[in-house]
Amino acid sequence: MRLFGIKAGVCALVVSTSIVVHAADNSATVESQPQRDIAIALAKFESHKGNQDAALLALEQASVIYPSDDNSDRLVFKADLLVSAGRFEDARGLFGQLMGQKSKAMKLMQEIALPLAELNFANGDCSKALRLLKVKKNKTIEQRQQSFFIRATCLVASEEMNLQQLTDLDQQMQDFLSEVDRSEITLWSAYGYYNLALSALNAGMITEAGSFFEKVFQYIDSAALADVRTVEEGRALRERALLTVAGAYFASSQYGLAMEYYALLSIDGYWNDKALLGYGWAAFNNFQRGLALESWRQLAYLPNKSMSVYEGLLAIPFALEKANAYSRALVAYDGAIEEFDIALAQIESLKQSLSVDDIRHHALEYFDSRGRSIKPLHPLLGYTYTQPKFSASIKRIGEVVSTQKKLEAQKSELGVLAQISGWKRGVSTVQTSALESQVNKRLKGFFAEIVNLREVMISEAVEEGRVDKEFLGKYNRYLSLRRISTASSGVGSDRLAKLQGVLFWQMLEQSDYPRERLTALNELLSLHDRLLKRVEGLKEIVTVVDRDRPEVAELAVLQQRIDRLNVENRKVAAAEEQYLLGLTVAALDEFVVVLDSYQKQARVAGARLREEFYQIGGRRL
Amino acid sequence: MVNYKNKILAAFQCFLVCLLPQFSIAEESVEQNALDTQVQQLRKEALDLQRDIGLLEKELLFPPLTRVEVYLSVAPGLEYSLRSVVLEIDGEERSFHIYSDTDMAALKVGGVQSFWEGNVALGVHQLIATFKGADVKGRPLGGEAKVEFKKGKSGLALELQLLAGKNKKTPKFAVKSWGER
Repeated sequence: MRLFGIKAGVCALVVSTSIVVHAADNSATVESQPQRDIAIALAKFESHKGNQDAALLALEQASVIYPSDDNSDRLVFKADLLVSAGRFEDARGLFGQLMGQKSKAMKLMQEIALPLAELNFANGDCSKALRLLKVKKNKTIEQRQQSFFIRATCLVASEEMNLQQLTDLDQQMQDFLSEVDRSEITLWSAYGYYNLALSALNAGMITEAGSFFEKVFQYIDSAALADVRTVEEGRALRERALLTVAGAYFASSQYGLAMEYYALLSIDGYWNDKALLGYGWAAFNNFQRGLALESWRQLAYLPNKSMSVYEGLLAIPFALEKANAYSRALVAYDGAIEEFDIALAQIESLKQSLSVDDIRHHALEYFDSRGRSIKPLHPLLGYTYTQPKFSASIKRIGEVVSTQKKLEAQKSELGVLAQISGWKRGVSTVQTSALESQVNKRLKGFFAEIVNLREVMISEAVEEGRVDKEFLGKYNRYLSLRRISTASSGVGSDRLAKLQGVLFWQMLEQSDYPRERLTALNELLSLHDRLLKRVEGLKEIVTVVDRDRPEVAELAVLQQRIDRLNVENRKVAAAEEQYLLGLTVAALDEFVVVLDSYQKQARVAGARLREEFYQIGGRRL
Repeated sequence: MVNYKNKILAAFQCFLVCLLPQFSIAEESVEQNALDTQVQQLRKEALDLQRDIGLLEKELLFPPLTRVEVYLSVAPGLEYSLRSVVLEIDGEERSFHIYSDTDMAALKVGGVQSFWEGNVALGVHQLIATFKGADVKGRPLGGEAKVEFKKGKSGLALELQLLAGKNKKTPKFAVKSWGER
């Protein structure tokens, strides 16, 4: 592919890092205890399915349920999850903790080098990112490709980039990819070569840029074959690359080739407006004015009026003028002036009416769209909202609102748990009391039976004269006390039972009581003891269960935490929405400046054309 | 005319710069950095809260006296596609799961699935896990794992394991107890 002769003012592609999951380190053996951390394993199940939030939650919960003496592996895994989820600030804090563990520094460094490199790269610190990439050994195939992307992007940003660096990086990558199976090639390689191509264009290294662009298209196809999920992303990258190539051809005055590449772009793709405008200019400069006009007319009829469309409105009358179609050119100038009037009025109206609520609603639509196109607040803002400052603000608003929703869900969950806790406690207390009272009653009844039996045995011994006078006296005193107790509804019955017990054993010592009757009594007593022990044991369990149940106070503390977070959340949301509103209004003001300038150009050109036509003998138009 | 053409071309050059993808390290103000930090802090606190509520829920709904947890793991490198697992305790179906390719991939890299958590009375019980799947050639291949376990006063965790035999093509189904805690 022949390429460009003039250095174009090109810039590199910014790509947010996609999720990278490292290969498993642990393996289970058949016979012995698996060498794995259960908290990490539970989180890994979720993270490998792309559920980063669920993975983080699983890791946090399992770390509490299955505590570990050495948390460093868990911290490393968590840091990796946070980086994958784009939560760089959280990851940064965690890395700080990890680096403080000097005794494990070397091992940890290997684990965290790549996510730390991603973090530094995302924050624009290429020198740290590149150092960390060198530290990480034994990278997987995907990690190698991702490292290549980081290195290529840092090269674009570098002021000291030279041909040797480009060719060295290219050669290393080619040597590596030539040994890799096609099914393992990812879009990282395509993105990396895209940025290498831009570096080359920037440096005026045209031939190299051409060969890099060829590799971009080649690796986009390979990645799409390997993983069908990358097809859409690959298509977007392809369109971008085609637009860049076409623009570079145009800048080097190779208009025919520029037209060819503009024509490859999809008519309903994201860049269709720039493609139509660019194609028109390439055709115009290639002396194919009919094609230029046709392209710009299509541009004018696009449903979303971007700045390219307004430029096209100026280009149409210009081309008509060149083709000596003066009256049509004037009509087109007048038409363009009207369109600019409408656009300026719309922007003014939007600026007047735009509120924080509109901004919030719109930001959430963007946040939830996940790359699907949505109707912008104003057609001109369609591209603006994809710029880093805007997308970062939208992301923050989205995160704050989704946190808000989670807090609301947690609040209602807490309400349900409070109900369950209250219900269970209520049920438990009632059930326990009823059960306890039943059992106690039966035990008392059982013991009363034993006391009766002892009573019978004593009175038998007395009747049979097997006891002495002293015993008889004590027994009679016991009987009168018993009569009094019975008369006063059993008061002191426990003491009486003890007295009776003492009398019974004294009676046994004195008399030769039939052994078989004693056996029966002993069995009853033993049974009673066993029952009592069981009841005491059950009481203990119930007490333990009641004690271990979460108290209402714990629920109240959690409720307070939710309320506090809600307040903080609202404050941050308000600040962020105000910021985005400010950015939006500033962007609209910039559009007003540009459209105003176009309108002035159209007025001046129209007035000039009328005057010139009149001067050469034509009627006043 | 020439001046106008130059202006048009100048406008187009401006377009050209705007056309080509911009690389910009976001120069956020100090205020935006502070907001960023606040948002991250809020998210962290919300996650901590979610964790604590989840643990509380676990304690309430599945107190240790009756709690039984069942996990599932697959030996890395096992050439077997698990399609479904049904869990029965004392003849009563307690849970089932159907496995997608994503689930299998997550298990094969060392992930462990939290399969089921529920309440079981004190005493001896029988657990039967029925596995259905396919071998490398797509032929149906399944099995069962049974275990008799005793539920004590503390929570019990069991792991359904798909272990790899010597050739890694035929799975062995087992149940392992993690003991009480």
